[in-house]
Amino acid sequence: MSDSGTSPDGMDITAAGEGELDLWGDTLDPDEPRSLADLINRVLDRGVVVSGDVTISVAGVDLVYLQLHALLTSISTARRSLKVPDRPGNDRRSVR
Amino acid sequence: MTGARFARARRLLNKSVEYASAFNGPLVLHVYCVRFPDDAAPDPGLLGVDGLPVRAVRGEGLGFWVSEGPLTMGTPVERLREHDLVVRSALRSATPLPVRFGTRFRDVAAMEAAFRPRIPELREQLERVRDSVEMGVRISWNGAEQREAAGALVRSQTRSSPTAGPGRRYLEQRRAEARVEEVLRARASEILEGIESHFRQMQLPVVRTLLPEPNTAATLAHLVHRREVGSYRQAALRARENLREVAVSFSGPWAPYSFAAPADAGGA
Repeated sequence: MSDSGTSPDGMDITAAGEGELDLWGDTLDPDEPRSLADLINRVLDRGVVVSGDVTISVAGVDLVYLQLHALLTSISTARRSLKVPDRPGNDRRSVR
Repeated sequence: MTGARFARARRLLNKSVEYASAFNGPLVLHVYCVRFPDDAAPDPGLLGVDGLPVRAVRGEGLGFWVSEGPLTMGTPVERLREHDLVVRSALRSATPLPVRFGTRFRDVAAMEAAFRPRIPELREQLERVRDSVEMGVRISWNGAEQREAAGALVRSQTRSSPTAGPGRRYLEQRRAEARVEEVLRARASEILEGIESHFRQMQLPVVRTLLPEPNTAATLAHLVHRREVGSYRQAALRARENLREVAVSFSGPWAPYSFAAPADAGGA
């Protein structure tokens, strides 16, 4: 038995009963900036953080040593870290 | 390093990675989430970042969902979605601890070595989030209007000396700017308190963020037991009633990104 409904902005908040959780939607609308912001906030800014290292070799010779300390971050977090004020109208869809 | 030099350095690095891939095919392990070792494995055919197959790795006291493939740089939005879809797939069977996007290792041994010191902590976190999901709240407002209103309030409360020199005027301006931020935070906090009151009875662990972006007053992340998601939804619908000057949107269930580390555990 499930309790389902659609919020006024079109998001389906559905809860299943006991057992497997019925997650809302399998794809995110790429044109929904709030959904994208929520995704970026979580996937880039949160979660378990562990550093990883990669050495790239050619013919057994180490060429590039990359210390991957999860430098990827959302723009607003990077700005806060660098104490750069946010500019109004920043488009957070561009993630590099 | 200037922007142009950084861009050039990045192009050179990407090119060297391409050359290395052509000669040596270096593969890296992309990690999606941490699980208990006995939790279900990924569905056969589950694909992750860059379409690579996802598999489970069982280590000492922890399990991991990973995929192995060539090292790639850049963070297009599509990769973020692919990462989250794998984490959400894990969430269906048992609540995982999501790993931040971009966590990569050269092999399983390196991954286990990196995680080994944190096994007790991560197992404790897995217990904390067991059978729970994260629900998100975003309170949006017109940032420019709010800032203008805050500025007007501060100006009305400020008395500057007509004989002030340039140095004093500069300091007074900086103080006014700081005061505007205080007014904005106070207003966002007040609105947040009103929204949170609808969930207080549920006594949920919560992570709050004030003014994360110009047009966002605040965000909340709640840790909700799966069987309470229906009740949470009811509280969310009540929280949206009779709102002025802000819009509230809800998202979830998510895997517990905001509760993956002890420092982020928060509390009700």
